[in-house]
Parts: sequence; C-alpha cells; structure tokens
Amino acid sequence: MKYRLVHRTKYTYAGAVSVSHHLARLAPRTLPGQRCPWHELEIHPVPVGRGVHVDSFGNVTSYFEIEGKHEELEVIAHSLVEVFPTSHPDPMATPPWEQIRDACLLERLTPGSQAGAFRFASPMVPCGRDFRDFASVEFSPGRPILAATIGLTAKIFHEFKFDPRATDVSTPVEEVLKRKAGVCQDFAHLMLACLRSLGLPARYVSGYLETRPPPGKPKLTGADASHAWVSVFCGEEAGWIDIDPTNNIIPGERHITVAWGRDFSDVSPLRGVTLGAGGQKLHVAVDVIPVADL
Amino acid sequence: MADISRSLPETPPRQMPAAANVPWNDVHGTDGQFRGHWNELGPVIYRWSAEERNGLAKSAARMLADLGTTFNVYSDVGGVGRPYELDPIPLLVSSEEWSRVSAGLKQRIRLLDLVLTDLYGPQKLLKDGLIPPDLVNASPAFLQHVRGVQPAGGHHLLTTGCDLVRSPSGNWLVLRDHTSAPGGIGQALENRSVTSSLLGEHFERMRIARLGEFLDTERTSLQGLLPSRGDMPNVVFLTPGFRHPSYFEHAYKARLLGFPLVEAADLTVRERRLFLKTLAGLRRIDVVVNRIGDDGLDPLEHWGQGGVGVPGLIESWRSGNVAIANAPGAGFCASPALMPFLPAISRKWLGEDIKLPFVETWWLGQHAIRKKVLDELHRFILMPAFKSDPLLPIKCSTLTLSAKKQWIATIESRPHDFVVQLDLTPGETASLEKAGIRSRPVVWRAFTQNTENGAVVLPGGLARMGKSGQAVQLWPSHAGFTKDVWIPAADGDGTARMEVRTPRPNKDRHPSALEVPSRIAEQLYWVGRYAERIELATRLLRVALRNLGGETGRLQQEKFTACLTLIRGGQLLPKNVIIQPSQALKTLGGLIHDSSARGGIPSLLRALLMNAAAARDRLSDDTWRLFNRLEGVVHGLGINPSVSTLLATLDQLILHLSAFSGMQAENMTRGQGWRFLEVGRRTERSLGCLGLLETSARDGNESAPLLDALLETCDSSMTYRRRHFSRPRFHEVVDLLFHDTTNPRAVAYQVSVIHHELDRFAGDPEFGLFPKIREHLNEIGKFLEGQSVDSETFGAMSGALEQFSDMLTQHYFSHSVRRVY
Repeated sequence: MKYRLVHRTKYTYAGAVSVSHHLARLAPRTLPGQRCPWHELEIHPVPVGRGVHVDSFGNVTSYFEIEGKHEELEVIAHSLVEVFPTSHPDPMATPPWEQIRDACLLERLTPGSQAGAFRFASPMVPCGRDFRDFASVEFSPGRPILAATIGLTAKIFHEFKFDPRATDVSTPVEEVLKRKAGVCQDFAHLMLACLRSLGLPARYVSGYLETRPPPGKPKLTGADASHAWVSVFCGEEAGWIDIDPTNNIIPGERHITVAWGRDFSDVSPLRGVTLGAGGQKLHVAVDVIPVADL
Repeated sequence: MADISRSLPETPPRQMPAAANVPWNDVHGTDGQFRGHWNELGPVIYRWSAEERNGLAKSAARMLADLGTTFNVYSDVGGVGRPYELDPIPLLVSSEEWSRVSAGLKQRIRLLDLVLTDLYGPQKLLKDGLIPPDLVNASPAFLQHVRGVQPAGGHHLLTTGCDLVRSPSGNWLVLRDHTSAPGGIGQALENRSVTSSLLGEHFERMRIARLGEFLDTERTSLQGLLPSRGDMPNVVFLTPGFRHPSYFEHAYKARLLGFPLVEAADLTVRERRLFLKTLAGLRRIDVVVNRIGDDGLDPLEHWGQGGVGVPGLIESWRSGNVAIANAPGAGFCASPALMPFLPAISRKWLGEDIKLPFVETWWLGQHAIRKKVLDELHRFILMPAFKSDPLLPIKCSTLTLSAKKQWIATIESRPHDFVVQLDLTPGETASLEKAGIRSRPVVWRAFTQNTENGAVVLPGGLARMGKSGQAVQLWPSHAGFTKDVWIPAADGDGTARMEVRTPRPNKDRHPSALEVPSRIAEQLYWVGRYAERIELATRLLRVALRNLGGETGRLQQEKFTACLTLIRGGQLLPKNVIIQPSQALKTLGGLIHDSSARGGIPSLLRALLMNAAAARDRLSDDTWRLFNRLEGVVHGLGINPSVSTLLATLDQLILHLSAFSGMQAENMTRGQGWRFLEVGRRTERSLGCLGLLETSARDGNESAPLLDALLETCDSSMTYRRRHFSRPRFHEVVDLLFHDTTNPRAVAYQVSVIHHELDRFAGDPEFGLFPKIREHLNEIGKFLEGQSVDSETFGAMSGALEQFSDMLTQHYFSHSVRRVY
C-alpha cells in the first residue's frame, strides 16, 4: 500500500510563549517492509535553530527551537510511505517462550541478546508480579512465543474497554490494569509490562493505522490518528513481530511504523518545553490517505 | 553455552570477612610503635592535654564556620543539613602508598573513560563479552538518549572521585567511584585551609604536598575543552541551587576556580548554543562544569524530571557547541556493579593488570555468580546496583532467617538490580575526641582528572570518619566528621609545591556583564518586594491590634472596623471573609504566627528568605544574619498569644525590617543588583499604598477612623498633624500619600525613585523592551499629574505598575528578546 501522510499538531497556549524547544519523532522509518521516499516537517512559526539526529533506537529525531512571542505552534509532518505485505511465521512454529527468555540471559552481545535492551522496566513501563500473573494464563510452559503473545493480545482486547476518558498520557500502567480500560498507548504499555515481567524483550512502536470509512461513505479529513502497538522478539529466526493489542491483530499493510523504543517516553511524536505558557490546548489531526502512486 | 563464562568477572583472591578480622591501625604497628609516616605527628597528638584537644576542636569548628557562613545557607532555609565537622588530625598517607595509589587512580580514570567511550559508542565491550549486556541495559544510569554523541574535548570524564578504604592488611582498596558530579574537592580545600593553619608547624616540617596545582590544572583543562572557541572561553559552574546539601562546596570551588556559579534557570539554549542570561543580555557559554548530575540536565531529553534543567542543553552538546564536564551519562560508571569487570577490561584493552585492588564486589545479574554469592550471603553487604533503595544497603549477617529468605526471593525476581560487597573491616586512624585520641575507621575520597598531558591525582583529598563496627557501606553520605588528607614528602623529595592560589584575574571581555546574572537580579527584585510587603502587612496588623485591646469605646470599634477594611484592601485577607468580633484576635493573630495562613507574615517571610537565599552571595553576612533573625521573631509564639505579645512581635519585626532598609541604604554597593532590590521595594511600596488608597476612596472616603488608620499604616500621621492640625480629610490625605514627592511613603516619591534608578540600568537603553518600559513609566507618572483621585484612578495605576513589573521581568529576566554578545 502507498500512502500520503499528513500529521498536524497544533498547540494553542494560554499565555504567550517566549521561547520553546522541541523534539519531534514524526518521520516514518525505513524498514524491510516499509519505505519512506519523502518526509518533510512544516513548522509555524519558523524555528530559529534546527537539528536532526538518529537516536539510539534508530529513529530519526528532529530538534527545533522557536524564539519570539508566539501563542500557537503548528507542526505538520508530511510523508509518503509505501508498506509492503509481509508474511508472518506460523505462530505454533515459533520457539517456546522460555527459550527466548533464556536466550536473553546470554552474557555477551549477540543479535538475540541485543533484544535484551527491551526486557527491563523503563520510565513508563514497570515490571511486577501483577503483570506476570495477568499474563501467565497465556504463557503456559512450553507454549510457542508467538502463539502465547497472540493469546495475550486477545485477552487484553476482550477484557479491556477502549475508552479515551478512562486514562490520560500520565496514567500509570498499574491503573490501566485495575480500570480495565484505556487507549492504544495504555494497551501497548500494559502488554510491554506483561511481556517484560516474564523476562521477554518487547518494544513500543508508534505509528499510524489507516482507518476506512463505512461502506459508501467518503473518508473524513483528519479522521485518522496516531497509533501505538508493540513488537515482541520471537527468536533469531522469526525476529521481531509486531502485534496490535488495541485491534487484536498482527499489523499488516495498514500499519505505518514511525518509531520504536522502550516505551512512549522514548518515541513521543512531539515533545516540547516552553517558557512562559500557562496551560495549553492540543489539537491533533492525522490523515492517512491511500494513493495510487508515490 | 561456552559463551556464558566469557563475561564472568575473575575471582579476586578471597578477602576475609569482617568477623575474623582486626582493623588495620594506621598510627601504630602491631609492635605498638608509631609507623614511619607517623613519626612526626604521632608523638605530638598523644601529648595533647584535654584543654589542648578541646581548644583545637573548637578552633577547627570556628574556622570552618567562618568559611561556611559565607556559603552555608541551606541549614537556615528548609533545613536540609548542617555543615560537616572537621577533625584537625589529618589522615596521613605515606609517600610510598601515595605513589602506588596515585598510579592506580591514573590508570582507573583512563579505564573508566575508555569504558564510557565504548558503551556510548560501538559497544565492543558487550560484543567481546567483557561486560554483560544486561548490566548496561538494566541500568537507568545508562542514558540511551546520549548514545552516539562525541563529547566535546574527547573525554567523558574530566574529574572523578574514588572512595578508598584500607583492608585489614593495610592495602588501599577501591570502595566505589564517583563519576557523574564528583563532590568533595571544595570541602577538601576548605579542610586544608583550616588544618594547615592549625598544625602549621608540622605541615611545613613534613613538607606536605600542596593542592593548588591540581586546581590550576583543572581550570586550564576546563578552559581548553572547546578549543574552537578561542583562548578565553566562558566556563560556568552549574549547581542545583542552594537547597542542595553541597551548595556551599559548589560556591567555594566555583570561587576558587574563578567561574560564575549558575543554576539551570540562568542558562538558555538559542540556535543550539548555550547562553547565560545576564542583565546586559545573553552571553555565550562554552564549557559547563556539571554539578547537577545526569538527571536534571535537560527536561526535553530526559523523561520525568519535572521540567527542571536547561531545555536544549543536550542538543547543544550533541552538536559540539558546548562541552560538559563530566559528560552526561558518565554516572553509569559509578555503579559498583561494574567493578568486578574492570580487571579483565584492563588486561585486554590496556594490556595492563589493574593496579588498584577493590573491595570484593559482585553483581548478581549473572546466574553463576548469584548462586555462589547466595550460598555465603552472610559475608556481604547487599546494595542496590543502580537506583537507590530505601531498604538498602543491608548487612546480610544481621538478617533473620525469614528476612533472608525474602531478600533472596526479591533478588531472584530482579537479580540485575543487586550488588553485594564484602562486609569489610575498614582500616582505622587517629581521631581527636574529648576523652583523648581514639581509633576510628576512615574512608579516603581521592580525586583524579584527565588533562591534555595524562591523568593527574590530587595529592590529598577528603577523609570521612565512621563508627567502629559499622559497615562502611552503611555510613551516611552527608554527615559525620571529615579530615584533611596529608601526603608527606619522602626523604630527599624536594619538589617545589605551591599554595592554593586565587585565580588569575579573569581577562574578561565584559567583566561587568557577568557580574549579575539575571536570576540574581530577579531574586533581589523580589527580596525588595517581599520586604516591603511584609512591612505593610506588619504595619496594618499593628494598627488593627492597637485598636482591638483596651476599652471598647465606640470610636475604637469604628477604627478597628476601618482597619479590617484596609486589611482586606491590602489583600491580607480574602475579600469575602467576615470577621466576627469574637474571632478577630484569632484571625489576625494567625496572620502573624500561623505558618499555614495564606498571605500571612510567616508565609511572606518564607518567600523573602527563599529569594534571599538564592541570591545569598550578593547579600552581606550581616544582612543574612538579620534575615535569619526575622524568621525567629514570629516563631514560638504559642497557640493563642495575647494582644500585647503580638504587638511586641510586630514592633520587633518593624525594627528588623528598618535595619534591613538601613543596611541596604548604607552598606550595599550601588551595583546592578542593588538597583533591582531598590526598584522592587519602590514598586511594592507604591502598590501597597495604592491598594489602601483605592479601598479608602471606595469604602468611605469621609470616614475619619479609616483615614486615621491609613495615615498610621503609612507612617505619615505625624507629618499630617504637623501640616494640618485637624482631623484627617480625604483630599489632604491623598495629597500627602499620593502626590507628595517629598514624603518617602508617598506614591509619587516611589515613582520618582524608580525613574532615577531606571536611567542607571545596565544594557543598551535603546534595546528590546527598554524604550517601552521607559515610556510606560512616563505614562504611570501621568496618573500623578491628573486631578482625579477616585478609586478607579488608583486601581488603574496599580494595574499599570504591575504591567511595568511584568515588562521588567520580560526584558531583564526571561530574555524573550534576544541580545547576543
């Protein structure tokens, strides 16, 4: 599938901001199953200082500063992306989950133990017995890792309610587990907490999901949203396999990967520190538009 | 699974557990004779009489206090800690030991720097199996966001600290490393200045190595970190601020180095370059001495530090525009978990054996190690590998069976989070005590720096003393006695050594510009405003209370009601609060002594002290002492103080505040800092007076009791009576308190002072908001020329003054308009 992406973020500040500094991770990654021939950041007001670097997880990270009084900041990320169909291994043919866990204990860096960077608690993903207990029904002894992960995904999908009012960006995962409700970010963090509490490497993926209008209806502008799911390490052969607990599916051509890291804090699409604002209002609109040609 | 054994640390020779050991005594050998390096000082200290000992201890405390009062503010505000105490008997390190240890420390900084360079770069150490990947991945001190950055200057570590302890056989062993923001050099230098003068004769005779050269080298190294910026780079010393327990040390060391002491709020990043906000504009900064540590440097890049730090600092560093010493992320090496892996790294990468042995330490993240350690847990102290844990460290031999079981279960569930270190009996040295010379365990913090010409070790350091029998890992980090560390010259060693020198005069291009960072000016501005606000509150309350007591004639009651109206107008009480006569004393008393009363005097005093503390080094010691006493005045009044007690308190407050104005007028240099203090004071006094006038005009301008109270509050009753010989009339009162440019309490007077000072502000008068500020002040002046004296006029003028204050903030403090030089 080929897409044109437009991701608009608009901050309206309560008071005038005199200086602000930002980090954006909005450029889709180039991967075996995805290419991004064009990406551009449009920023209003025009930044005075800019920089781009690749972070330690391989995400393209843009830095910019705005100077001079401003009451609004608008960042529009334009990209063209092509996502290729990928095949997934037979879940039952993947290695038992304990084997993955133990492989990470290897005491020198091998491709497998490299995944070990994603098996510890991180700023927004704690580990603990509650998460392990929650997941252990699916992670029965000897069960193939992908099959067990698919089971956990289904469990979260069925037991949890998608409810944007139930949580906000700062709701801890422990709360999500208690409230049994949340949004894609919460489900991704919960799933990471479960997998890592079992000793399994799993990472947070941020990106987009193309939504389709009901049959016969035109697609509305700004109807899409940024999305989050997880990726779990399934051994040297199968590698990292994405899974989307919000929709209970293995991502395919409709999922566009932007960045990955240990949790949201590593990949938040746009971060900023402002000098002078009181509160702020945030408006985000995403369009994932299928196109015939790039 | 041959790989597993690859990164296992080598087993050091088994060190003996504590129980089976007698501590090394540094002063006496087993034969009871003084050891060689104690030949000079040993007999002396044992000859001291009780009086001499007492005298020395007292002198040390006094000399330290004299040094400390200059910097030590945190004990007064917020009560974070108190100054350390100093044992005048130094820790002696013989020259043979010194040459061994210093060679080891030089190797160690090289090794640790190499480890950081690799881990934040290609991570060959992980691929080669020299460090287990989990040790890096599980460590929150390993900063993912700085991986791949080449630190300006080339080194991750500029200065490190290393805690050393003597084994029972007398060898110095590494206990732990300090790599992020190693503290203690300032303290060591303070201790040196005290002991070298108390024991001056011996200090000279023993030809003790001097410390000054280390500091000179450090200054030069820091200035050389960003060669692209020429030979006069700007270096700042970044401290977390006065609430930090080591603030005084930061201030002391910054002063010795000759670099300005700044806080994160003083710095700003523009176009990926770092600047210091000064009154004259933004000043480019090239090198940052980081005493904040890894957390709290940049809120943009580091999650969850609550917005403190300098946004953009990491990006500025990443793009090579600023050098930071030590490099962000260097704190990783401070984890004891790394220690057991260093010998193999040294051998493979440096081709040398590690020179400094270390206290037996094991990281429990590896199965084979864990199994071995858990079998003999009683030999060890259990410690956190990375993050601090309120329950740790813990001496395992003291655990009950069930507690031990619980700990083992916790370890098994997250083994990477734990380290054990041998419960070692630390070597002891002589300590000066009331009852005589005693023997106490001691830890030596030594300091090393990387320079262009290799590593250099401070010939001295900071020694900390503990209690015999308490495991050294359990000592609190910010308490107890400290010692100076003396390294006597070996016989025939005639090296010329230098004293601690004051820095060369800074050949600064703009010496005056660095003089007052904007934050200091802002803080002084608020000191002025709060001092004035407290005075107004005190005067208002005093007038009210004077009319509360005694006989309850009608006149007095009227006047009291009038006072309450003014108190509301002065915003001491919320507008809608109704005071029942029976509750009046309690409510007003609360404003004087209840620290939880919003807008009350204790809370205003706190705000005053907070601002004053942050501008501490701009205030004289006498001023500071006065401020400390201010706080004491309102403390300890009891629950329901009587009217007379409260009045006495208020009188005392007024006296203290007058003393402060007097000091400000008579003892402070008319620099830029003073100017902001003065403008703050005048602004607040205008606002206070305008608020009262507004209330009077609105709520009964014909009421004589109210006008009486107003005049009394504004300290103008006498003047009024002298001029008018009559009951107060509104227009005459307004004339005196509003229009009169000769009455130092009148609004007109304040405005003319502000005008006068504004013309003397630093910076280009045509730049930024400044022309606007001047114009705005002229507009404010027009209120005074007009004839309308109704509450709207007073209200509008207050609004205009608040706007003036905001404009000052914007122009001088927040630097929203850029001015680079």
